[in-house]
Amino acid sequence: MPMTRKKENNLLLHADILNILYEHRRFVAKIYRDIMGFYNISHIGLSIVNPAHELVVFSTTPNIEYNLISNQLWTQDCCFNPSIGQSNKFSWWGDNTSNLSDNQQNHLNKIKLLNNNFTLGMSIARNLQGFDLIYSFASKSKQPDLQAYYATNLPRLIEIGDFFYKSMRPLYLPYSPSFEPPDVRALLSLVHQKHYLRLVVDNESCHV
Amino acid sequence: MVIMAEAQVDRQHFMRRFSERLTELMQQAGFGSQRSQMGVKIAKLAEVSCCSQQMARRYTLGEALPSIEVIDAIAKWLQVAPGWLLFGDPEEGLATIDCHHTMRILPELLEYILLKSAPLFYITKDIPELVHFIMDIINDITHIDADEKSILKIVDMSINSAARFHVDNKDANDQKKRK
Repeated sequence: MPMTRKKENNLLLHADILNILYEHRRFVAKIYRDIMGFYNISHIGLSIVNPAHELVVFSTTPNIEYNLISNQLWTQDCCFNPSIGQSNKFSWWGDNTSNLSDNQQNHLNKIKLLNNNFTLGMSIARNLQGFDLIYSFASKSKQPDLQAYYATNLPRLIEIGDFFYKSMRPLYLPYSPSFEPPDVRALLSLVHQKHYLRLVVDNESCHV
Repeated sequence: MVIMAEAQVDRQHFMRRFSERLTELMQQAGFGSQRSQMGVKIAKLAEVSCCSQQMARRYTLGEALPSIEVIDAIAKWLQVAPGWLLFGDPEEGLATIDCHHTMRILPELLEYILLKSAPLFYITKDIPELVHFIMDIINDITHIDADEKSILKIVDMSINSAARFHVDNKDANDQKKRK
């Protein structure tokens, strides 16, 4: 599997990115078994960009990432590039946010959606302690208003992504020896930082 | 020469049709749910089937078939004939296969994957999960844009990952037992 080291848009593919994608496949499948079925999820992927902008990716449907890399489409794709889309928000796979040509966009849709019979896909980028994490999901569900359904369940999808990251973190450690990847507890605090109870006693409030 | 792996298609098609009938009936009977992939209440199905929720979920995903006794129980619960639940209408046949749900693979490549996978059957007890994993490899391979050498390397890495996984798991279980 010939692999040349690419640096595009300040992102650098890990020298072994394609091997990493397949070397841990059985472990990734095991983690996926714990997630499969929740919120109609049929695919989950995780891209990790360390502070040196080096990118590693894990996936339950690795043909997607393999083809995006081998077809040079990865730089303009929300599954790889954290600068596409907003932090902690969905980037929908069909949206052309990178000014791609129609041909490129069609090719992207074929690789990500059509090849795998997915009806909808989306990615969520998170930034923490100098790392960028991108959680990608896809569904085969034909239920109507699927996009709206996910839009209302964004926090739950982030939690599932966090769970996947937490499970994959030990495997990722050797691939980023110079930088300690974020602790899962830091991620949880990010998810829950806006949700707190306010106790009001005699018209004076205090946080609990 | 490219041929369709017909036996696998038959089996997958059969299980998928079963799961479609099952989930449709459950939704009609008021056991729909937006929280599960197939839109039905998995906990209720598990209760009726006397099985784990994971297994019930696999029934709805078309990944497993219940035993005859369980099909009988589900059919009574959903008030349909067990035979219909299992086989559907007689005219439902392979002619209705949606080509999006078929796989095309070179027979030599399929043979290579199966031969490479064979040793895995001796090191795991969870055969359905192993078969599911091998099916995943086959499905994934059919969509990869790569030359033959790269594809064979991907197959080797995927299967080696399973061998390593099962050995690691066995070691961990042995350690637990010793403690």
